[in-house]
Amino acid sequence: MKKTRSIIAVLSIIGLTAFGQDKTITGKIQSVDPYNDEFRLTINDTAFVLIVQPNDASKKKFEVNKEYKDILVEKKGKYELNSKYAEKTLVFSYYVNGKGWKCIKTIEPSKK
Amino acid sequence: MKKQLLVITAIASFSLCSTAQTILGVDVSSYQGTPTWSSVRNTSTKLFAWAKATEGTTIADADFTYNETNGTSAKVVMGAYHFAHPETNTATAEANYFVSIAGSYIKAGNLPPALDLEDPPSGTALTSYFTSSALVAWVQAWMTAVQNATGVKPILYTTGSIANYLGTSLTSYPLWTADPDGSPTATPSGTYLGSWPTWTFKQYSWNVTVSGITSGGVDGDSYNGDTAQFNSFIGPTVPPVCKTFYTTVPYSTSFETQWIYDSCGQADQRLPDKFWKSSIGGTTPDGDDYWHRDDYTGGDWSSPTSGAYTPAASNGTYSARFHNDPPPAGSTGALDLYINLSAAGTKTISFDYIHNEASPSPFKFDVVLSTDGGKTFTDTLMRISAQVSAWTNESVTTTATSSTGVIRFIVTDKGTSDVGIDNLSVSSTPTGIDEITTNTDMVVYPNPTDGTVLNGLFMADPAFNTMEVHIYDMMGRDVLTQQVEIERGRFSMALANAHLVAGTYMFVGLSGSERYIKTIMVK
Repeated sequence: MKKTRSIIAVLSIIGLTAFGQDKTITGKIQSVDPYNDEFRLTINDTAFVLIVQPNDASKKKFEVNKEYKDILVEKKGKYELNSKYAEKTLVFSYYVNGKGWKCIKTIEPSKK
Repeated sequence: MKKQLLVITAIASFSLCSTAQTILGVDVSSYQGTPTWSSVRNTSTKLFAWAKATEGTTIADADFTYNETNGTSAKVVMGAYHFAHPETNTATAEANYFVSIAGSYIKAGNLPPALDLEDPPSGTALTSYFTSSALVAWVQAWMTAVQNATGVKPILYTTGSIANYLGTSLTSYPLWTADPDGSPTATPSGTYLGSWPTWTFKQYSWNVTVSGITSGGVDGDSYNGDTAQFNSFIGPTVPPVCKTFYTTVPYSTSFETQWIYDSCGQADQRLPDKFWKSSIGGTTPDGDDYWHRDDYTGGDWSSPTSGAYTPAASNGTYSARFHNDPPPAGSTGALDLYINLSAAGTKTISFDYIHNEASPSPFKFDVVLSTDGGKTFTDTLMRISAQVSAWTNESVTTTATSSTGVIRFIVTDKGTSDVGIDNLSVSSTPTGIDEITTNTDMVVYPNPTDGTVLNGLFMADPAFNTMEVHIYDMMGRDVLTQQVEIERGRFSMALANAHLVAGTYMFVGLSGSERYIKTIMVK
């Protein structure tokens, strides 16, 4: 049974790699900065990009699962991390776009 | 290229019978690995692609050549883009670096070169480094340098906030807007266009799934127009940039950068830069009687290693080489430098020459001059027919003042050893009462320099304690002007701010009535 699980796990990893599935990172959001009309989130000292939802001229909605659309909040015209997520360890799935940006796709709570 | 256009035309014809076709493409870099371009083209029907060529002055994308070669083979209309770092480098240095890597891929039938202007990866907004006018000046300098070097007008890729920051000065350059709204056809709002009246390309998504690209989401792009407009935009089969550009005196080159596409002859890597043209003649020209950079291995030369001379260059790494082995009888090849000779004084044409072969027949190497833009060549400045077994400096002068001068280097040969020239310069020596004399009695060091500092030692006139220094690149452009202080015949000048790329430059120092000219190398 263990061998079977191991083989399945290995095949899953190969499959994810071969077909370019999203990657994940677990950590806390250290900082938020504007970046190329989007937002740059630093997580584990690595830059990730949170994309503003297309057609949202207000730039207040983000391309992320609905549970975390309030990940950033506006204060005095500047966006910052919603305090309820401060110091929270989260799991971020992301894809790499043409310019190498690590674009956040989903955010989930860490189960650890 | 014809096949490429036929494919597009075929799709257009189909589209006219069904639904209007949106012309879609992608932009890629080494982050996408090595796409299977036939799948990108045939399965995902992506018609065009930009591939990242360079970033700053030191990063060449590892997959650029792969992408250009294989994308073109798969009938994808390819282009090259440069990721700018205005916060770090001069526009000229970045443009030169881009052209050195991507120059041979910029030609009719391809997408125009693109400048990628966005916030640097460091995260600090680009607009915080520059005033609007300073950023405009940087972009304008890059665009001008690339257009001058390639003959093709670049386009600008940028975000909405930067487009707005740039104002109106750059709107003559087509805009490729970053507006990832998910729609290839929706017109971007003014937020994304800035002062541009319209958009030419739109990066409509950063997460398109494309067959043949397995790395994951990729940037999706669309063209604002129909097939006919797209074909017109990328250039017809008749070369659109077969234009004549005259350089000025002084001009120098050691043929170090990748040779560029010859839009008049429609051939790759046939011209040292845009100031040159290539022409052939002879009784049985078979394609082997062309000038190229000495390391050329393309279709013009059937046996590139035959007839090669050693060393390959007298200055730097490369030289200009006329190859005709196997030799058709009396084949002829000409390489023409278009140059404005109206500068005052006598012009000196200096170059190093090699042809290590005894008495081939026929053989002649001529330097001839036209003063009517190349219509007639009536003035033979120099003829070499003897064997020259090692690199030897040759020079000749002319007092011609034509603004449409053409200096032709022409070989007629039936031999088996090739002809090489290197370390070419055209300089002028003003004459008259206020004559400035050229003094070679100066030592500059270190030479080669690492691009940070250059020192000089010479017999200075005590009456003058400063020297005006000009550094010219191989295109004859003044890339650095500096007043340096002279102290007991010595000076030291900083080069770092000029961000000189590796290559050959001409140092011209003016002090009192003396002029000092030295060739320097930046490694």
